[in-house]
Amino acid sequence: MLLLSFLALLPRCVLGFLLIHRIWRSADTKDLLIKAFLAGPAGIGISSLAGFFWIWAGLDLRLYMFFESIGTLLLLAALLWRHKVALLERLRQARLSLSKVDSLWLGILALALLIFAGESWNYQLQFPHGAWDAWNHWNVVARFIYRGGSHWTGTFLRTGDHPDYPLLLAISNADTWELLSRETIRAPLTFAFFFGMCQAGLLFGLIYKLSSQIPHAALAATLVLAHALLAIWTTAMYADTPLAFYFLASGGFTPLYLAGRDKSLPILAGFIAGLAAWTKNEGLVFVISSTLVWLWIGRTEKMAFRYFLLGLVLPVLAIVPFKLFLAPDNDIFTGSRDLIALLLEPARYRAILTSSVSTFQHMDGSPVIILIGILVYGIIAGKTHRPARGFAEIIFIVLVQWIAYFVIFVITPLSPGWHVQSSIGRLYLHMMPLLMLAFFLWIKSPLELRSANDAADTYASRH
Amino acid sequence: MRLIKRGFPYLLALVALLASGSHLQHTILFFDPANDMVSGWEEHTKLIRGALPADVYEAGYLEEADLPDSPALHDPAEFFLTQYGIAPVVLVEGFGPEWIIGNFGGASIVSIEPWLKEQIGEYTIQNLGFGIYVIHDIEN
Repeated sequence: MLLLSFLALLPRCVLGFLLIHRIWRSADTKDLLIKAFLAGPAGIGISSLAGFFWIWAGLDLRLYMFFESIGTLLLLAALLWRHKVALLERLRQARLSLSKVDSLWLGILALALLIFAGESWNYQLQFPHGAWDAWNHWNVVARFIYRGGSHWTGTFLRTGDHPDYPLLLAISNADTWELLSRETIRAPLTFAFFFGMCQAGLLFGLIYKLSSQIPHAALAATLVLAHALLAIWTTAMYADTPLAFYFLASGGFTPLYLAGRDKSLPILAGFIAGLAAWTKNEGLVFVISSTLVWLWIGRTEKMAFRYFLLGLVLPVLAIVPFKLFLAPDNDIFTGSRDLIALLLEPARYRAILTSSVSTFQHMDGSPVIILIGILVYGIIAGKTHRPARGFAEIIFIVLVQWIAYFVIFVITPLSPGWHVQSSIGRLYLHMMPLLMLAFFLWIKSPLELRSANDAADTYASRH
Repeated sequence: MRLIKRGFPYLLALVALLASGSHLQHTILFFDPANDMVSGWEEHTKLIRGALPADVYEAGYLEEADLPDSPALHDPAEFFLTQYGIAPVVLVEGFGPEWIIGNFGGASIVSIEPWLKEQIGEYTIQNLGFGIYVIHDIEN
């Protein structure tokens, strides 16, 4: 069933790839690598948006998944047939030339991936239904959609927290169950693991594209995968790993655009930012901060900002009616509380800071040791001589996101200390891959450190 | 200094791998399938779904803490586990709906029935075992 659950994601991966490739036409190998890791999550996003409109219209989700999957695979077959000569020629010319250093770093990355898979496997054996929020917030909604037919909207009448969370995760898992004609817990598990792997893969692809150095990209991806915290929260089947993926993908398109000025990239950045907001409410803050970044870029390049907004249209068309007509009010913002008084209460700030420090220090799968290592690495290695643009934009997005989280902690109707304790690990994971990207754009690469001369430039020109 | 600089990326990767590897080893050593509270409850909720008519989309929920003079405390986890298991039926606390799920733990049915009679009048009750009952409020 595990393998079948993976296979059920395949048509959506193909759909994502075809649509991304349609917008972003580059056939450069490094771009194709980014597209490969982006394809699945993008296809899953597209499918869940279309599936939402479909079930909201009262239609059968199984029928939609049948049409979508068969249609996508037929389209793929037709395209492969049409371009068979060019594809075969490209495959014939393809040469994989890796130096010893590249191979060593890819080996290190493979080891990190293996440990990540082991950690995930071990966690799912203990918690096959994931952690509390997985079954209580996310997969229960998937069950309403899969089992409920036209009664799926009953999910909004449930007692519990966060009834207004958007539907990307729930519809995607229900999609897989429809394709398998069976409700298996392996589907959400596979979905979660897939996003965890894609996150590391996309980070590798983005840094490889921007630095042209495999060791640099492999070190970044290794550090992300080595966070036991990532494996735990991924296999817990929460929405935080998909959310972090969309943050990384949309945020990562900023330096990519600034490096090559490809007009198609802002469209994808906007679309994926919208998917973040369709995954979890925190994505709404990301949409605002990303819009500000692209507005800033748009001062001199108006089309970039317009294309970003164009990309946002489809997700917004789902999110707005979902929030207006279906989702109940958010539990953080409802109730009669004097928000100004809460914001002016120093004890809440103290509780948040104390709880943040103590929770982070004692967090399972301690990220502290890796963070200290990264900090020391930053001090020893220093800034690269070949910086890519986009560092400031990413830091701005991360800061806005964390400020928003902090304000939520201050005004939360829950105990601020408890709220911090229960969520800070996940909030750290939201931004960790994007921060890692910014850090690796800023720092010297392993190859730059190897030699005072221009070995890195020579290497980059060969890749 | 150059040697340190050259070796540091490898050292950092090694430290990260050792940290994650040691965490994996720790979690394997302390592996305990008893931590999973959902799978067992899923078996109970399968029985509940089988006992509810297919066209029921709302059910009430009563627990041991609701019984008169019960020392038991409200258990939100079992409420949410039941909701997860019986979706797409919406679970609401109390007597309101026609069909009610009783999660009475170790309480004796003899002590429950007079109380139910007093609260909802005529009813039928199915004992599913494990202290779980499906109650049909006939007068509703």
